[in-house]
Amino acid sequence: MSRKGKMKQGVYAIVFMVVITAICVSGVAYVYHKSLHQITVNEDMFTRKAVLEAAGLLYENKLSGDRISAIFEKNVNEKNIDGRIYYVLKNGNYVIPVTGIGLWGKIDGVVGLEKNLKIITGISFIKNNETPGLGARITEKWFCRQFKGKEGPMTFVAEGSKTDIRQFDGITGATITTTAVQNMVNNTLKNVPEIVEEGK
Amino acid sequence: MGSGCSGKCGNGRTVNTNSSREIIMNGIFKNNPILIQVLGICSTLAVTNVLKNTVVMGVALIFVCSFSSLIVSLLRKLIPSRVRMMAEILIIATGVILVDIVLKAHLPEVSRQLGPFVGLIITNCIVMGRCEAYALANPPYKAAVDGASNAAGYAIVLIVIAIIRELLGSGSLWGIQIMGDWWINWSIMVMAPGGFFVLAILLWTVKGIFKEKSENG
Repeated sequence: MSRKGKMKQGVYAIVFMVVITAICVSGVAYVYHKSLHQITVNEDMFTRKAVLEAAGLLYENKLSGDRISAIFEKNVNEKNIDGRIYYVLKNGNYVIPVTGIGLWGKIDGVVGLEKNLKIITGISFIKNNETPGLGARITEKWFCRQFKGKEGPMTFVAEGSKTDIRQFDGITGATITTTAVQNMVNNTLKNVPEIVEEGK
Repeated sequence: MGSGCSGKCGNGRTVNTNSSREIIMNGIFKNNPILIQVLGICSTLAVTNVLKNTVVMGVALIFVCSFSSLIVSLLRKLIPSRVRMMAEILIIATGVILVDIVLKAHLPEVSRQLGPFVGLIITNCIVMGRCEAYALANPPYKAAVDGASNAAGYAIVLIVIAIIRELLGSGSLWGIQIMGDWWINWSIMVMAPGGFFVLAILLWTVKGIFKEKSENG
């Protein structure tokens, strides 16, 4: 092939890639732009649901997004102290966001505490990358609900054992995740008086 | 076109098929991407410990695979051979990101659980393999059918593995408890090694049956 022909081919390849990239990128950008609102709403809804669950205010399983928002707005006050967010409830209880280090990555959750900052009202998880079927079982209802009414510092026992007020059932095969949850709860109980004091 | 490789590199059986029926049978059974071609194994091992995630993954792959095969086939006369892989990856990535956005917007729970795996469809060898081996040399309709049926072949195998793994590993299916209190979960089934075991046994069984049949027939 002549040099000119090769040149022409090369230019064509570059032009082709530029054009197709532009088309693909604008297509994706358009769809993303259209969905952005819904995605943000979903994220917020997940956090709101978790806060209400930790506060022990969400009893029904399937509530519509509007219902959850209504309950949230009626009962919860968001506080932002130097970028640290926590939630104060109408009845004086608190819900504190907390992050732990799980097996595969960060675990984001919230811990609900009674006014005295000693008794747990519930916990809930917003985001985790734990193993599905093992560590990810921390999001199951029985696991989260067992924390209600308990006090720290907490330790865990084997799944299915009887627990006292300072213990919770761990998850078999997910010791690292369970330890992470234990630390999340204990750290919250330890650090929270200071945070709340600052916010007053 | 310099895409002569597409015919030779791919599996000869698929390039010459004509009827849609044949294409579908090839993708799902005769030339099953996982059992026969042994492609797309990483995601097979990763997502099959819970049935729900597996089904979503399968549907997502069917979409991405037929979408990218269709577009690649439509553009097959325009794509310069030297940059064809770049173009293919670009098209595949576009499909995958679209799936990811749609899941985030409409199935947030599932999207959360699948996490990075949706994005990793881009690297699923089946998608690129079908673009290279089939879509570049065949008309759009056939290419789309080929992509969809190969992805369906993948999805079916994944679902079988997921049923075995979730049932043995968690005693449940689709999150619903099936086994009674007497059942003790095989924790290894929900971990990566469980995936290896089930996949290997399945491959072995299917190949055994298939080989016997071809010997007899």
